[in-house]
Amino acid sequence: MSNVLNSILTNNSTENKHNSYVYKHTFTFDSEGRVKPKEDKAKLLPSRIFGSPVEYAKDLKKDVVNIGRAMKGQANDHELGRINDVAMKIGSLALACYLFVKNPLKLNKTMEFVGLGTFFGSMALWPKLAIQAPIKARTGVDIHQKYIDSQGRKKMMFQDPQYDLTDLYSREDLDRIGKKLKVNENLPDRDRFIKQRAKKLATQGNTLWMMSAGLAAPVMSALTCNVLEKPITNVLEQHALNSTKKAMEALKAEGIDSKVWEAIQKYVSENGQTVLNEDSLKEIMKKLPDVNSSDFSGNIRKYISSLADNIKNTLNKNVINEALKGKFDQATLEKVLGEMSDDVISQSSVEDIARKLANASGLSHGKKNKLIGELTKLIKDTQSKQTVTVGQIGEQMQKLGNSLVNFSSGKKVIEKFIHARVGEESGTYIANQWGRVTNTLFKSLHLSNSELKALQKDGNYEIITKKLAELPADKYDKLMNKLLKLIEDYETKTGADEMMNAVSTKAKEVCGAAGRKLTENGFDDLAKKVTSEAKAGTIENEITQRASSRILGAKSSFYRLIQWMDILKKEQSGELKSQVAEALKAAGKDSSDDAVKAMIEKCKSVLSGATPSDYAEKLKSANFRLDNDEYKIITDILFKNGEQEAASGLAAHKKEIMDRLVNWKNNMTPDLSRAVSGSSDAASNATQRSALSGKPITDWIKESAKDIYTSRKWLKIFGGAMIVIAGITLVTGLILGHKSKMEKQAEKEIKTNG
Amino acid sequence: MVDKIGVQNYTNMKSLSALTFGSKDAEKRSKCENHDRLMAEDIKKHPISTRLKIQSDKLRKAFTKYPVKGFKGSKNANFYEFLTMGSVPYLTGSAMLIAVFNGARAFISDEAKKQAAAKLGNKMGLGVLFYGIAKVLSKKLIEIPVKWKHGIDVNLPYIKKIDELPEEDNKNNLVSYEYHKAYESVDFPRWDLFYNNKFYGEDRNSYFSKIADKMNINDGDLEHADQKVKPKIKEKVIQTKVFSTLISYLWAAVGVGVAMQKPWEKLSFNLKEIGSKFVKSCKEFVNNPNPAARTAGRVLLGAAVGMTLLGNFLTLFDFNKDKGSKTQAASSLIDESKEKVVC
Repeated sequence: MSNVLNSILTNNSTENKHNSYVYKHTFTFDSEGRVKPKEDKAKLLPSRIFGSPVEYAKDLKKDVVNIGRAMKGQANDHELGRINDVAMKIGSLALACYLFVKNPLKLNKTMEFVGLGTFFGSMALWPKLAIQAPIKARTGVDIHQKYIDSQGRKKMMFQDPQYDLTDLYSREDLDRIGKKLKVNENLPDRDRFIKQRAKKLATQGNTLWMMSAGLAAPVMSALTCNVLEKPITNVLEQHALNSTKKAMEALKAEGIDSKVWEAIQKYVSENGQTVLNEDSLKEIMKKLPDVNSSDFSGNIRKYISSLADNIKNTLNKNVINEALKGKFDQATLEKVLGEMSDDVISQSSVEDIARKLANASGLSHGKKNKLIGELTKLIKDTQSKQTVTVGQIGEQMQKLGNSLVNFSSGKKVIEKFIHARVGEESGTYIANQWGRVTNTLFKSLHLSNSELKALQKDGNYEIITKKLAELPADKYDKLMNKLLKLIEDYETKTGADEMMNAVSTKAKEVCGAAGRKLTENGFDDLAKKVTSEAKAGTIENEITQRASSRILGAKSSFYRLIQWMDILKKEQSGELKSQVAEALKAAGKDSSDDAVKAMIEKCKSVLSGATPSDYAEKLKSANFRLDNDEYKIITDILFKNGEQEAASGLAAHKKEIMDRLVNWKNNMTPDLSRAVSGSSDAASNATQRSALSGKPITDWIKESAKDIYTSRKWLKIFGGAMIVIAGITLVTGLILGHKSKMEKQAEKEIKTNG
Repeated sequence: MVDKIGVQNYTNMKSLSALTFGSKDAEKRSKCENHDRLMAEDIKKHPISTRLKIQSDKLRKAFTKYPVKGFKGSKNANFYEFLTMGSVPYLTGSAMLIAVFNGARAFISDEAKKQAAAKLGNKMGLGVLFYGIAKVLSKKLIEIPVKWKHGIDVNLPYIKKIDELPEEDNKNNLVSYEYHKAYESVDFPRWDLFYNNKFYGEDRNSYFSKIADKMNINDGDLEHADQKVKPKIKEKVIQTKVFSTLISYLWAAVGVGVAMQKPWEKLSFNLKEIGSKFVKSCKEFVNNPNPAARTAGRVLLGAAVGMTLLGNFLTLFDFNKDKGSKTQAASSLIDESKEKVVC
């Protein structure tokens, strides 16, 4: 044995390097040159719940180096175990990257990485927080105590219960643990009992870890994601608002006009001989800069088709020769065509050519006329069978591409700017703000699950009405203030006026530049579809209208909610009753209590339920069935007299709220009234009506209740599950590490023997 | 107590024979056997059923026997039991993940949102399933070629007999059995189980000689075959392990990627339909209409395929042949003139 070891320790050959490394770290020589085991360098590492990031980075670096060595066949069990953990993280990261790319929404993209992080975080944190920390606090034993062995490898002290490392505990450690575990200080072999208890606790704790981790980690991860979603939404939202604003400010319509659009150039040069048909037309459309407007794309397609038709209809000698080959005297044909230049032929009509040929044929007048008809038909038939190649329209397409390239990129910047603020997709500022308004209201009303369940079924707002009525005045004001603040934020952040100014200015610049470029290149008709004096039907108009309509629609929905809450409060205070009674009297109608009550209900139901189409029917649809007088009274109460309201009790009670509401009503009511009455063509179209009327309260309540009910139910199930799992784990952790019979017996003996 | 343990050992050796899945004869065991038994013959005769039985036994104990021992803080609890219990969080975690993504579906009343949740839930649930399947099966992409080329089965199981210490509540049933793999430790492979193993031949070194044949390093010196081939086996086992680990997580990611495709939005329990959906989703994974997703899918698949090919290349061919193995207790350390003691 000694000889073998000596040979290893003294052998420096490359072949033995790896194995001699292990032996050299294990054995050494004594003063007489004999082999002896090296001093044990193993020691406990500081007991910490959370590791240091520097250490983590060092370990990771070591692991990566170890992967390289293992690929060559050099590794030990410890290294292979660590490689497994690294591989799991690499695989998970690769998966998160794939899902990030695949997911269309920014929030979802981000959540893929957040989900990955929280999952690994939960797997690591669960045993620390639910098992390791409580057991350590109670008993002083760190069941995940780490140590560093003589070879410098970091390992778990209690990983293998059969590999006893409790000798690494210092005197202080044993005293501390013994005290916490209340091991009798008079026991003759106290240290042994302390070590036994520590080992037992570790075995029990590790079992508890294995049994609980699978149940806890996914739920913990999902709940953490749930909590993080809100701040992440805010960060992403702010980032989108800022970045699109910067891009918009930096957008210059002019300046890159000289850019050559290479995609179409490449396609044309590679497919010059390809016949222009549906397939190649589709390809050309794909290669042109994307202007993302179906109307405009349709116009481009039409333009290319007309271009192809022009080429086909332009005469040349080849077509005429091909059409008349063997059907007309060849010598005459050559003579007539020989007298005409190519330009003259291309500018001539088929009939002109046919007439010249007939004249040259020397036939009588009657026969000549017949021949002209026949020749015309033959040439036109051949013309119609002619094909146009991609190469023939290549030059025009290149010019079109160059004209649109700047327009396409500019339009995208403007669209992103609009989308980040008022886009219909989830994750946009308007969608988030709508969610905040909803959550604020529902949270303030403290709706129970059964109430939410009822609301999500039919959107019956009576529950909300009741809850609002029950709200004390101060809480009602607080709620109103919160809602108004959110609406104010909406107006500030989207910067309604500011946003529209930016959009219309930039749209005008970008579309104007594109229009000029298109005109310069001879695409007059297309230029008119981008921008024009009349503006209607142009892309410029489409961009600005879409933005303004979205801003207005959201604003109307927000204020409709405020107005509805205001009406409910007025009903409660009796103010609405007197207002309606006066209106009924003035109209010469029954103003008894019952009639007033009925009219109030109608007012409320119009506000809560009227859809844009109900407005289109002047609220005479099956839902409302109002006669002309009722219609006038209700629209007057709801949409007019803003200034009178401002002076009313509620306005005095909360002036700021009413000021804003009245301001909106004064600005919007005339338009809405026109939309309702249909007195203005511009205001009475469906989009305008929809934007002005806002979302019906019942629809909004129903949709919001559905979402809140589902997420609350999910939270109840999995939050409840988490509480149960954590509870059981913590309680189990508390009863672990009980005394062995042997220890009890020893204690008993001490007591008995004094 | 010593006598009692001895009696127990004898009694339980009979039950060890009963666990041999068809191998009735204790005589078949090699002379060197130290009560642990290599299951090479079982694997050869009944490869699938043997492995299934081993897995089911481990799984059953992971949920029953080992947690009980662990919670008691048994002095006989060991690392094998802890590792075997590792399958519990894998399975419960998978079930919990599926539940997290599908748990609230029943409470969604909006039909459109319910359908959207079902689509996502199906894909996520299936993703968990595909992750597990891809992770397990992909390892075979390295292990099978290595077994075919070098004759080394890194998963070759053996039954390990454990003589336990008496405990306060258990003083009689003191023997337990575990299913290990002969090469589960690269530091301490169970070489002893291969010596004199009649399954591989009559000679003491038959197994090593066969492996040397497969590796084309057999110089006919049967007596020393083990010393020549052991370092090489170790090297190949390490490479196989590291590459099968690396590719398993990449293929698992591909598995989830395939599960995230549109065909799985509506689940089916018809085998033919499942097959067709699988083919469609694989095609969509690499040919997604979204160019970014298409590229990402191809890159992910490329990484998995690339790593698999690299793994096969490095494990199947011997690049250390001329240099000599760095992992071996090199032959120069062995005094050839002296009698060797193995086993």
